[in-house]
Amino acid sequence: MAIESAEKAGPKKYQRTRQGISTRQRVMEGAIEWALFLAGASSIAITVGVLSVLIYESAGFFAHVSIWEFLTGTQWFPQFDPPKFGILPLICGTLVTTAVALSVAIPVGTIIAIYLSEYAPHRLRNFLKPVLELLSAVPTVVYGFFALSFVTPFLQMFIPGLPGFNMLGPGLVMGVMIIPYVSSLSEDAMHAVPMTMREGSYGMGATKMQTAWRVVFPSALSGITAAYILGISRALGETMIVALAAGLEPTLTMDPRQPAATITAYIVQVSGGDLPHGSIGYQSIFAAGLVLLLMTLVFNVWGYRLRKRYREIY
Amino acid sequence: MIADNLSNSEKPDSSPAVPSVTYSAGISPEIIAGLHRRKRWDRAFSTCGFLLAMGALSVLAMLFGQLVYEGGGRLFRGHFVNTDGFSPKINEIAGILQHNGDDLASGWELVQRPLTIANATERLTAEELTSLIGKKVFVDGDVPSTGLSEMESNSIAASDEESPKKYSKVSLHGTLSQSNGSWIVTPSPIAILPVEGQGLDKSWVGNQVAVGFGLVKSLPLKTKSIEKLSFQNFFASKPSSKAEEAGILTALVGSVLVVIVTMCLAIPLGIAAGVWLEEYAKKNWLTALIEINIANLAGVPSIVWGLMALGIFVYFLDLGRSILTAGLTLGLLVLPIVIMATREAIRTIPSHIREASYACGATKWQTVRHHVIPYSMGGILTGTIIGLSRAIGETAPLITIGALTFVTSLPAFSWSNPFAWLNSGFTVMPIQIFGWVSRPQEDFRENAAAASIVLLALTLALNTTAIYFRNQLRKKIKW
Repeated sequence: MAIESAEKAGPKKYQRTRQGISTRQRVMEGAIEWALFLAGASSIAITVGVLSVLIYESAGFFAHVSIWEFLTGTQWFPQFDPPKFGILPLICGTLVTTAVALSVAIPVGTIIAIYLSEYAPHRLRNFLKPVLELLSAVPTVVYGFFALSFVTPFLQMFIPGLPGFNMLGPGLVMGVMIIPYVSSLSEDAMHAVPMTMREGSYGMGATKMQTAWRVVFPSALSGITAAYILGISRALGETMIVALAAGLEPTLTMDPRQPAATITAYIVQVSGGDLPHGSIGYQSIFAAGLVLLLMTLVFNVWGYRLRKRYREIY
Repeated sequence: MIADNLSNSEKPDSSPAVPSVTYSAGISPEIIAGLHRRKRWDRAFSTCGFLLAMGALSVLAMLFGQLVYEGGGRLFRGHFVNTDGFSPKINEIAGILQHNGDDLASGWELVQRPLTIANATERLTAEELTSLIGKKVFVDGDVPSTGLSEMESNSIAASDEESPKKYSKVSLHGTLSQSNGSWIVTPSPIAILPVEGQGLDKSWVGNQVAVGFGLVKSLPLKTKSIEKLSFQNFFASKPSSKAEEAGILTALVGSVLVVIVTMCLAIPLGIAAGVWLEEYAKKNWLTALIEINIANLAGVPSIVWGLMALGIFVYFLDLGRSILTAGLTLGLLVLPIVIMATREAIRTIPSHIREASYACGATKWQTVRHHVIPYSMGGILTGTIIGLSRAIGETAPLITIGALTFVTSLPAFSWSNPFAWLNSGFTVMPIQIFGWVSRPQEDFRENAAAASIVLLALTLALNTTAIYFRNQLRKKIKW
């Protein structure tokens, strides 16, 4: 009723109810809020989709292969008869390449972060930080080609007998790719440390380096750890570099000079061929993917919590 | 506490101090020495940081250098094709058409390009070759697949000697010369007799043509067919089983189409989700769950997205291994990037902007539509460009859903069914590179490097644009 009188009272454009807003508008507001909510909630649907596909197909796989055999077997020969599905060689390959990558990315990334945060002039920092981030923007297939055609031949000059496919070359390239993840996030964390803490340290006669390592670094530690963890999870999930340059032989070895397959490389290798839907080989890539997802998920949740915490400190 | 730490735990350093500065009396020399030592460490560490940053960047330079070294030339080298897009057949001879005299029925000549003879010295000594310089020679050999400009000779003989016994893929009659240590045969022009009705006129003169010869062995050769050839570069060529004829046309088109689908999904959904989280969401468990969920989605390895797409899009929804599937997969992959960029951008808008809008009687949606979204558009755009560059370079999930490495036809487009291309098979740039790198033939490495240059240049250009936008925004906006 209020609406009717309002319609008579003035031009439609300015109609307002006593509450100050027309019903049509209120309905629209509500509809839009719902639409936006659905967009936000779609992320949950996506997660459910990812998990359910992985779990559904893996369940089919584990009906044939026992979980115990899968997790403790040391041989991964899906094409044999009977096939052998022991994922340890793949996990081992993943961990070794990740370790090689981190042994580059963590020291280099941390030192670069300290340099950018504590030493670099303001303008140089504003230039270097985004330019360094370009390192992680390079398509990974290009990195893989680089590892295969440049880094491995280069390493072969120093390490005689290094095979053309090995875990060292792609691991190093992966490390370079991860440097920006480590350096940028660590730098953010160090930058957030209040100036007063540094000034206190300088006031006691400490040099910049002493301040950086003994005051800034410990204060930003949770943020820095989050950066490391993000780097780890990137390295675990990296696919193309290892698929191209690390070889595709699942071997259980800790020696980075040897060729080996990672979980991701196995998935790429198998899905590159045309697998019949529902076969055990088809299901095995989902089981491998589930293991990979769980591995990265642990690190992601841990890193997310650390990031939250350091954001709340200051 | 801190002071204690600092003075007690000095790093031991054996190198002697340099007492170049005199300090006022009362400060013990040990302290001065320690000061110098600490300052030296400090400088060394600073240099080390700078050098490491430069070192990391130099990897980028090395990467680019290596790619240009291996494949730079390939970008500008193409091959000749006929009007149907095919290169000359084996029994055809390609060359530039020349015409002497006025009579159109005669005087036609085919001039072939000079050929460099590779490793001729393995079969013939340099002395033997030197004696032939400037003379007419017959060369028999194979043209390697890296291009027509080089030829591996099987035999070479002065033309006044008996004709070569061995016939192989290419035989040439020409003049031998030497320049810069390499042997070059400039082929003698081949006189050809045009067949009636071929419509040869002067406009063909100077063009690259392919001539198929009739079964006339004695010179002048009679043409059976003659076709005008056009130059086709790397970008305009489709994949081929011959490395020197393969190009990236279908991959480039595929990348563009897939990215269009990706962005149609990721941009609206991402902005909507970001706006909801920042402007509408109440602080409750559901919001917290969605937030942590999005943060986790951003960390899901890309190959897992591929597995999800294989299970849901390809088999469950039966969308096939199509452009639509690929676009949706990458759309979900970059969605968290767009959401996070939107949220960051919205967070920078101070609340008084919103309050002013509410004070004028605007509703929440009006405020969001007319103020929040427009003001955060720059930040959203930056994030979107970053997502775009990620989508262009992503390989692994597309391999999983079954992208093809050998697509020779472009997706068909018709006005009657303007979305038919969504269902066609596809290849994209990174997949093409992957396909070429995994081929056993060495020749395709050059193609892979050349395609990598294109892809790298694309992604770096996109990222630089994003950085530029971000800097402009930072400068421009002061609330």
